[in-house]
Amino acid sequence: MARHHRRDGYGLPLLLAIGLHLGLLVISVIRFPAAEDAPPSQAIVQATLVRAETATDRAQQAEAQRQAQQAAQEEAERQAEAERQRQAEEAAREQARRDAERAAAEAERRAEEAARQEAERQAAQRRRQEEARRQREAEEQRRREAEEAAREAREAEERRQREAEAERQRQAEEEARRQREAEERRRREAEEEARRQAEEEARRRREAEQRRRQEEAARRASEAAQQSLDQAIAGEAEAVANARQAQEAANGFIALVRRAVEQAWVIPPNVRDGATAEIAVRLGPSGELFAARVGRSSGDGAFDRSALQAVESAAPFAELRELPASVQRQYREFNLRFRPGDIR
Amino acid sequence: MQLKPYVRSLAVAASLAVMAGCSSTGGTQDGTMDGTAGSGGVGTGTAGSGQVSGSGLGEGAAQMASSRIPEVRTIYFAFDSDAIRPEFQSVLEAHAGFLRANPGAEVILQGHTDERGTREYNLALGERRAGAVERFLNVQGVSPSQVEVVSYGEERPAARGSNEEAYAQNRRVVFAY
Amino acid sequence: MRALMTVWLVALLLCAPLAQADLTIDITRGNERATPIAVVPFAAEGAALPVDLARVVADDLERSGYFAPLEREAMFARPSRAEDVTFGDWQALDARYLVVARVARQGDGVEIRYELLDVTGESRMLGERITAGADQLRAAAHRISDQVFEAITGIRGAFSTRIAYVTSQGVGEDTAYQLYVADADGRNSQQVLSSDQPIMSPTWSPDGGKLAYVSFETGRPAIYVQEVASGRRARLTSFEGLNSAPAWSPDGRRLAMALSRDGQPEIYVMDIGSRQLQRITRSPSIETEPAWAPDGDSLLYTSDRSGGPQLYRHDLASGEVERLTYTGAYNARGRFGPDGEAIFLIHRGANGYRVARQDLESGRLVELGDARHAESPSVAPNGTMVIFATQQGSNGVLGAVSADGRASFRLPAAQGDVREPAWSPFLN
Repeated sequence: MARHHRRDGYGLPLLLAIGLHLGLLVISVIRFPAAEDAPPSQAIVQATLVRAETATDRAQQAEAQRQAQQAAQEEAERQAEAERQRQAEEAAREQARRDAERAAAEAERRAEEAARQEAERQAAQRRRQEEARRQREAEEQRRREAEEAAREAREAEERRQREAEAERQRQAEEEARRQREAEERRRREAEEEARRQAEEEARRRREAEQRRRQEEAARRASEAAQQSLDQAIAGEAEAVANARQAQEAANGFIALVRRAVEQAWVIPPNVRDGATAEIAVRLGPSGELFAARVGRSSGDGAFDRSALQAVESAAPFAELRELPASVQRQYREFNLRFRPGDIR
Repeated sequence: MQLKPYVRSLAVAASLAVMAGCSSTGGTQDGTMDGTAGSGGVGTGTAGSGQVSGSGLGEGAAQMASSRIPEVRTIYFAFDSDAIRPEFQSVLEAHAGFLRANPGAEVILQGHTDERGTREYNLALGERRAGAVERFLNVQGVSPSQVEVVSYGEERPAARGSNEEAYAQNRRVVFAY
Repeated sequence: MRALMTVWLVALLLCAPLAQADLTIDITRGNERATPIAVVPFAAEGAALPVDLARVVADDLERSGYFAPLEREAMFARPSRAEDVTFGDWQALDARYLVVARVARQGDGVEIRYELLDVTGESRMLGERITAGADQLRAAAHRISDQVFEAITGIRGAFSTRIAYVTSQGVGEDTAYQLYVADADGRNSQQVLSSDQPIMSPTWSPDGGKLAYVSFETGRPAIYVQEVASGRRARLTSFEGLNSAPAWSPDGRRLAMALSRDGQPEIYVMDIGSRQLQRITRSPSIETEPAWAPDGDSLLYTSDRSGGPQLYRHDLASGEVERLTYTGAYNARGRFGPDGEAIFLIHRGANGYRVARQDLESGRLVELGDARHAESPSVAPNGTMVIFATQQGSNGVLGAVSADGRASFRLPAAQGDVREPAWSPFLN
């Protein structure tokens, strides 16, 4: 509120300041030489001297007059004949006195005139000085206010920046947290999705593979007449695609095996905590079960047998054939580690 | 937990107390037992017991002449306790008096428990209850040779059923002459 | 050149198995259900047998908790020999195993040829010929159950064992008590003793030939030993006070028991041959319900020295005592499992008195089954099941629960109030 007032109050000083400046400019252009001829301080001293001289003069004159009258009276008493001479002298003195008075008055007048003019000039000078001072002060005031305003603005700005910074940081942290959570969620969902889609993926790949094979067959048929260049190019592309897809396909296959075996596994009662059995599995080229044997016994016959049966029951894993031909062989032998996770 | 049975037993005990007061002249014993049933929570056992309802009649006479076996021959216990409840002290004193007056008489103190818990541990608990009565009699001057303890644990319930009434009736020591 | 080739071959041989072992898939989830098995009705020559052998076998296997026999209605083929089996038929029904048999008359008795087949593995696991008298048909069926169970689980079957239990009728002074012995499935019961006084704590000698029990028939408790086959018996103890809770040592030469002849109930061990008595415990509290560890080196018993009943283990050589149970305020009547790694006991928790298992190494206690007012757990000699008494209405009945608590059953009801079942050792 106060700040508002002050801010509103800037208009007038500003106008004044501008006016002063303009005035100063005009004055300096018009009056500057005169100001230079007679510096204000000198003028004041001179004026004082003139006035002091006049006052002394007057007092001396009065004394002279009294002495002259005294002398004349003494002369009349003592010497009558000297009357003419005395009158003449008196007349002369009177004349001289009148002249002197006149001259003095004149001088006084001139001096007074000069003093007046000087005073006027001086006043003007003072006014100018006063004006300049006020201007300076106004300027100073304005500058101070401007500085104050600037300082306040700076501080406000700094505060705002600090707050903004803090807020930004908070938001950044919040955002980071949200992102982390979202990331975690996304990751989990992605994993879940990946798991869920593993089969879908396998199916799609199966279809794609089939399609590819059909296309391949068609292309081969159509290329029977053509030379092997196109075929070579196609082969190259296929190899690249296979390499990329191999891992995905393998992951899908593993997930599928796991699901099928877990579904088929009937866990017997009275299984010891931490019981673990490993079944070594060997598949035929079509995913049929060639061999399954207990690679590492749990020490619990019922448990080992249940694991073996789970594999036998879940087989065949025909999806093996949907793996790229290049990696199929890798996945025809693997171990299944049976270890009940959340039993009891 | 056992509030409901208590309330029910209180009602039964109260009605029986009234009945006993009406029907018997020397029924102080009976009245005491029923009264304590309300406060102790075991009265239901006495309420259902034929021995007890008949007991009040002959009690006065039994105390007068120590030549006859006291009629009240069963006392009851709180859950998980072998402490002799004050209201049964007079019963024990009557038996002590009889046994002192008749050195040739012998009694078997049969300890019983309710059905809760394991049987063999209950056998030990029943013995502990009968042993508490035996010590009481010995303090009263009864010769140890006149008294024998046999615990039946939960094997010979006075009442069947898995409820507080039956439990209260079964936590008992019986004087078998 | 040849050297290079050799190096190559060696490298290949080294790498190949490594590559194979690389892939291990973890299987952590499965179905906690009984394994489906099909027991096809046995094909019999001539007139039908008085006993449905296949039913006896199927019931045995079901009560083990390990197997879920297929309903007969679901069987669209009824082969009686392996050669006639089409595995696909049974795979379609998700049966994992198949039992087929044919029975031929042989004089008064029968000859049974049975086979066990692995349906998923499409192989024959077992084939045997059994002859049995006309009165041994159920026993023959139990033998088949034993063989099938062991072939699949690797655990010796306990279907040919027996149980002893006590029944009572009536209330108060008129109560009648009987001691029975029956097949493990509750059938074929025989009365061993009848009394108008309580009978308690039957327990089998390790050879399965004798029973020890407590009888009040004289008006006071006494421990008796009785031959099951002949019925001959002897009174072993009749001390003043308690004579209770007999327990045979694994070697069959000693009997642990709880006596109060010296005041409070304490644990004693009696040498059966010499009748010499050794006092094991010494405390002003109750000590009772002794049980032998399978190795015979220590005794388990109940004591209320801590204020309530808890289980303690007493090492017979060193005399050291260790409290075993700390879960809850009431743990009593402990029995060792046959491997000595767990004890089975009665535990009072929020759900009343229940059968519980405590693993000795971890000290973890688990309630088994949901039977209330459970009493007297007795472990099958193969450790897979625990039989116990529970209540149905106001009557005691027998129940059984698998040692891990997963499967539980009610045994066929005998008449009256049934309690204190004791599972016999292996009998053959």
